[in-house]
Amino acid sequence: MEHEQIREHLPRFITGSLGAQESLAISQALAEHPELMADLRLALALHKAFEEELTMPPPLPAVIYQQARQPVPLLPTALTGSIRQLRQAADITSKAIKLAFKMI
Amino acid sequence: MDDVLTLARSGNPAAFERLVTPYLKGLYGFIRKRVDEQAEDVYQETLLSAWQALPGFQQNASIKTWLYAIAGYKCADALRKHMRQPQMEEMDERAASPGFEEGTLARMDIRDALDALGAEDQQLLYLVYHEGFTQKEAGVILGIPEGTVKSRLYRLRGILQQALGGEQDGT
Repeated sequence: MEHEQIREHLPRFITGSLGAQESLAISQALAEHPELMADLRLALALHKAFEEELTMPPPLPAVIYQQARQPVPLLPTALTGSIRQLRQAADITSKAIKLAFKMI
Repeated sequence: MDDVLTLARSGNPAAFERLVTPYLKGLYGFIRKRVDEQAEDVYQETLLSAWQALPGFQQNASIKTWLYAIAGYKCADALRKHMRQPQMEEMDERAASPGFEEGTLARMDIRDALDALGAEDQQLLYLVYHEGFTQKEAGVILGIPEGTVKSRLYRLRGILQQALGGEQDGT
């Protein structure tokens, strides 16, 4: 791996975003080329400086919760229609039975 | 994570919160680098846009890159809208001050050296050295070509190496 490639990978090496093989290659390159240690020191110093100035972010915008889209209905429309028809049929049957009792 | 993404896409705010929470602290830090005074507004606009655009999110980028790209756009938009003249003057002053010149950076520590850089340079360094984005991803987020990212980083490394070298030499 060329020096410029290693320099390019160093930030991801220190943040742990590299894969195992790439990390190993960087470690070996650092051991073989001590002149790259200055780049590693810079990467670490920058990471630390940025980390120190982080603050807690504000909460998520409340409007996200207000704008929450309607949940998808559990029953499909066709089934909902069938249930409505069944209820209507049950109502008619119930009325018919009540009428029958009155007649008796 | 795919289940959380599906739920969030269907309009579940709790799932959205779970999806973005790991990136929020870093995202807010990124926005503050560019638009310090308006950071809270830009942060809220970024998340609202992400929430509204999530159903159309294509998985060819990670959620993190996608969120930062929205933030990068929102920062640029906020700067365009407000035409931050005072900040531009401030940057010009910085550039003209002796502290900004490479030769004198040896006497500064890394924090001072960073403060002497412009907001865009600080944002780029933050994306690469703190957030671990590749140069290509940083280019997408900042809306600049990868080649520009490369050359800018090369120049910035030179400036900062000098500052760090001076610090370590105890000068």
